[in-house]
Amino acid sequence: MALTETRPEQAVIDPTAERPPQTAIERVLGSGDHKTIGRGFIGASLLFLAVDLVVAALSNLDTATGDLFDAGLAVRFGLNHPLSLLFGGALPLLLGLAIYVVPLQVGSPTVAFPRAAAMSLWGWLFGVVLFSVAFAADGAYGGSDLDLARLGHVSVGLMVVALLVGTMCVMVTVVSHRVAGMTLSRVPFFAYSMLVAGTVWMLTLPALLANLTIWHIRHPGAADLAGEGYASFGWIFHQPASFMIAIPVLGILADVASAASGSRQGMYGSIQAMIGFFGLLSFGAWAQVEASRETLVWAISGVLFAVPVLAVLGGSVDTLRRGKVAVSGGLIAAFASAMLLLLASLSAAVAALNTATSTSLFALDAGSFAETTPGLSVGQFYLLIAVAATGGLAGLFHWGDRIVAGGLPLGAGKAIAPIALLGGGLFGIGQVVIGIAGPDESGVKLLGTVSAVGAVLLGLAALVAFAAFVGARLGGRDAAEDDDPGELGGTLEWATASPPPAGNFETIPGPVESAYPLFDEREKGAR
Amino acid sequence: MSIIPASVPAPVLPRRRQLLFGTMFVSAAVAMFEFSLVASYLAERAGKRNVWLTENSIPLTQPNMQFAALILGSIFVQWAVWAIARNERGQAYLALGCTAVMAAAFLNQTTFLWQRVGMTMAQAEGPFFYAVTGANFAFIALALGFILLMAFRALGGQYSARLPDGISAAALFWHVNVALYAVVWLAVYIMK
Repeated sequence: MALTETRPEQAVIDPTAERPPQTAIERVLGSGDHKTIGRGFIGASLLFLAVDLVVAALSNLDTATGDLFDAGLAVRFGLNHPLSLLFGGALPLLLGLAIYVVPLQVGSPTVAFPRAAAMSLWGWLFGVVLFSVAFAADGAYGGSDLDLARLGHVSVGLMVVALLVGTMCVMVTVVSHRVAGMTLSRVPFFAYSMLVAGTVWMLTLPALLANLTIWHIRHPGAADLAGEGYASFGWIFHQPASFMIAIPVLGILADVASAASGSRQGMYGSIQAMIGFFGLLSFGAWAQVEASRETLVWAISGVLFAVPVLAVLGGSVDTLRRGKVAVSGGLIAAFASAMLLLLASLSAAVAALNTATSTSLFALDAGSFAETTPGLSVGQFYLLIAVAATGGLAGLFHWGDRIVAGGLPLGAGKAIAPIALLGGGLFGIGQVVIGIAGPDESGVKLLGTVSAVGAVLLGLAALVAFAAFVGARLGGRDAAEDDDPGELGGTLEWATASPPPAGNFETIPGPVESAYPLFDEREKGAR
Repeated sequence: MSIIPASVPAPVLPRRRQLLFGTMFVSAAVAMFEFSLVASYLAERAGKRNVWLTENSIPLTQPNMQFAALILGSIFVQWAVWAIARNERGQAYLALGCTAVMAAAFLNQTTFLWQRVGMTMAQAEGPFFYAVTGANFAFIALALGFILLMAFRALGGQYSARLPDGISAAALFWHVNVALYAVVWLAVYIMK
């Protein structure tokens, strides 16, 4: 007799029955909602960014004074802070913003592969915690405890893999989840810039992972890991690879300018091409060894970085000029990050010209994180971290009322933006001037202190943004009590409620007929 | 009689090509990872020509047979794509099974080759040799897992001519890994 001979009792499914309510922990831990995942990335990365910037400030102070910490601790601070700034703060902040905003921009109810996106968040968080534990317990790079040094090494790999998984989810969302009518040439700038950035990250970070893998299976000693092992992936802090972190900022700038002025970006395709060009220049996995950074291709790419930055900046200014501008914290921060990016691009041009003229133009000192020496490339990396941080803050405040009910306090945004600009500028310029001017010992001391002060100011901006974000999230600001939210943008993320409901849109939007479907509707209504 | 009430709407089909695009991006990352490892291997070998593989010899039989297994796997997996696109489910299962056997054969031959070569991690070439060949081993193992997962989903009725993406994605990942093995075969086993 087969077991299936007896017909089971038919279950009655009531589709209208309510599920038992989830607890707050269940909602966070078990969520595949891109909004929860994005918020998780944004909140945690802001906090880590603030802490990392304090560590960077201490490291710079020690380099300037030479007697703040004992030698071992100073080396640990010097070697580990750029890694945690990049993979613990700046990159996840932009990725978190993308995981939250990109599905809304392309009119999708969800991010692609939501469980993979959740795995990305938790994998990254686990990696950051492991790295922090290793660093705090005399491990990571420069630590004397071998097991903890290796733990730090492996945790960097974990962070990178997790961030790559999240990046893949965002890229697939842009490519495959767009609403009807939204061709790639109509994709909003931030989503488009994330597609470009994601491509560059996907082609660059695996090369870093390969370096990490080889140094892991070599079973190195702690000193080898801090020396040759660290130097094997030092190229990630140098141009052109270091510029890959800034690609999404160009998209944020173009989107913020359009929304703040209530007008369309002119020459949409050209701006997209410029973002793509910037991405092409930022691909740096080929320039891993010192000799490749003395070639003509490297020099030309260094000089050209400023071109797409100026193009997107010019296009955004033109957009503002054509509309009625509502000044917001997001707008100020977006332009602040563009200014910082322009500074970083100029420093790249200086380094490139110096190489092209066989180092006779300046007595340039590039500096190195691996050797914990100050210089131009160190300052350039700091500037790019500041670009990503300030750009991330711009996005956070610009899309604040999409992210948190009622939005973030606009006053906080307006206050943070100049602090971030000042802090980011000082953070990088102090080191860049050391590299170009080659000052004496007292000058190095002064400029190192300037960098440290800049790091503290930028960290303060990140901390205030974190407090505003958490406060608004817990407090649940009412939209009615909000300051004037200003003009809303023309892209689809503005077509839904604040914050968006489950599934993001009441009805699936589209088909869209241009890059700015909400402006289309407004104009049709005016006729 | 169906136990699903008529009022419940039909499930929404997954986005077409989502899995295919995801696999494409992951494949690009995997390729960059493998290329970087091979580049490190070649750079290290160029600097240590006088000691490289002086204590070990790499036989060519296993690498060649591995390559043959992978190429056969490519043919089988493409057969699976062809079959699922025409709703020939029996053929699709058979083709996926054959591909899985080829993957298992590759993994078996790799471990056998490692034993035959007998290289240790203490040797200068050890970490690089095992990083390159080990990464290839890991990715083929991943491809095998992907194929088995897609085969089980196909058994559950998830893929058909209407939505063949899962099988196509597994095939894409397989083909990329075959191409990567071709690079390893040439750089590590043939050029030595």
